[in-house]
Amino acid sequence: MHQGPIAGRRDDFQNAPMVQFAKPSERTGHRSGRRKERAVGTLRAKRREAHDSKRQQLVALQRQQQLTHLSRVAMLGGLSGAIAHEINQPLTAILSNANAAQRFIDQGNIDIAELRETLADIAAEGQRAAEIIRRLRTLMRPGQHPRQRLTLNEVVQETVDLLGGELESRQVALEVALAPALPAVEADRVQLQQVLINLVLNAADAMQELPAPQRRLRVRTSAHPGGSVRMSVIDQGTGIAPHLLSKVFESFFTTKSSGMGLGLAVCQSIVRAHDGSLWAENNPDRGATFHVVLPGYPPKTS
Amino acid sequence: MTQNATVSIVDDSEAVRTAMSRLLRAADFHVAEFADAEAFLRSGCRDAPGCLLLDVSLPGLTGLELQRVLADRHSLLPIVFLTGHGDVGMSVQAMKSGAVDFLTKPVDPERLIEAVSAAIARNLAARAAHAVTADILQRLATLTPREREVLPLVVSGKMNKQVAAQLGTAEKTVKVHRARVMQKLKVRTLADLVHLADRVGIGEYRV
Repeated sequence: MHQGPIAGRRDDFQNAPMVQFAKPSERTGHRSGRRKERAVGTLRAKRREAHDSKRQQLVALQRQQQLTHLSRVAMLGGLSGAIAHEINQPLTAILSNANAAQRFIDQGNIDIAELRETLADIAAEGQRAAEIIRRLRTLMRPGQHPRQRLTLNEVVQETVDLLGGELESRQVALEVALAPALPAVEADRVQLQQVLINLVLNAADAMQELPAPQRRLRVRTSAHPGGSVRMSVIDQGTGIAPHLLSKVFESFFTTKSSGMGLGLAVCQSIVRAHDGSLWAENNPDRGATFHVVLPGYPPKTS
Repeated sequence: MTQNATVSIVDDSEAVRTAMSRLLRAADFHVAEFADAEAFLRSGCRDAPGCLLLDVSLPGLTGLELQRVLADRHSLLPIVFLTGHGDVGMSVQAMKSGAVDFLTKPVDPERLIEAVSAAIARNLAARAAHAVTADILQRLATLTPREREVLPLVVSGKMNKQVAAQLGTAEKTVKVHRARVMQKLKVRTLADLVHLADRVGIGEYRV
């Protein structure tokens, strides 16, 4: 019986088990008499190679999904303050309205119109809180979400709704410029939200040290000739060292003391999975811009 | 509505404003609502009796900045802060800068009413005291220079003879000045004179 810890590699993100390639059953360099056997053996080896390569792809995909989910959970952990704030507003309204109605009734002040309005407000605020929780639950769900036709403008709007409180508490001024009549894209809404949330929070972090009036963040959407659409997040921070402009997208690269370095890497893989591209540029004046470009729907057939 | 005091609610969420307004009206307060700090400052409410129910996070001028603006203008308006964030550092700063209370959302309605009541009581007392002081200062302004010299000496307990000696004048003259001072300041006893002088910082400690 084996006592004590079992040595070997743990199946975690950093050290996924290596997929073993099957060894070719035939060795090369045999005499010609074995040629037929060798041919069959080579065929088997090729089939096994294809099978293992497929398995390797599956493992890689699984790993990617786990990474995406982990990054999402970490991001939501960082958002917990924003989440609490968003829910505290409707809760405050509900509690105040309910107490007011109780007082009115206790005082014999039964103004039906006002009471009706009060109850309607309570219901509406309850719905608002429920909607916030529903959206967060959607974000939290692991695994793939179906792709759907949507516009980047919707994604920006929903993200702004979610992050508004957080940005306000960080005293970051947000300016949104949405192109009208923006072509749709076919995309996973939740994943695109995750990308934008990541980029916006990074931008806010980049401006943390600036005096509050200078913390200006812009989100822009625009259409491009050729049918693609672009989403840009522009900050006024210190910018990115030129030699790091592509390195920031590497896994486990981070400049934050409490960073995990998964955010941008995951964002890029999400955008690439949508046949798009994500890159960073330094602004001519100050700060950096992150651009997301996605092919529009329907895809242009040239 | 009992008192002539208004609670000014400054919060950028309409749902929160409406709900708190309703609650405070149900508790018999007068209420005025504002969506941001600038709107509040433009109104006449900041000089009126009452208190300020102020959300920390506002578009434009923030809650803490508004507190500073009011302090700079020596406003007597007490502030009850509201926050959706539970930021301890911010709350300490707000309290140190003279806020009456700091409440985190979701706000317990009873706590809110208590805080507003306390704030209004504080404001009415401060305004009353301020009015008395202003009135005294007005009366003091009617004293002649000589009378103004006599007052602190009398209030410090010196006898007329001593006052006369210090000022280099006759005791009879001092008596006349003293009587005029009491008349102009509308007090009848020395004790009242002392209280009044104390109120505005005139006494043996003032040169």
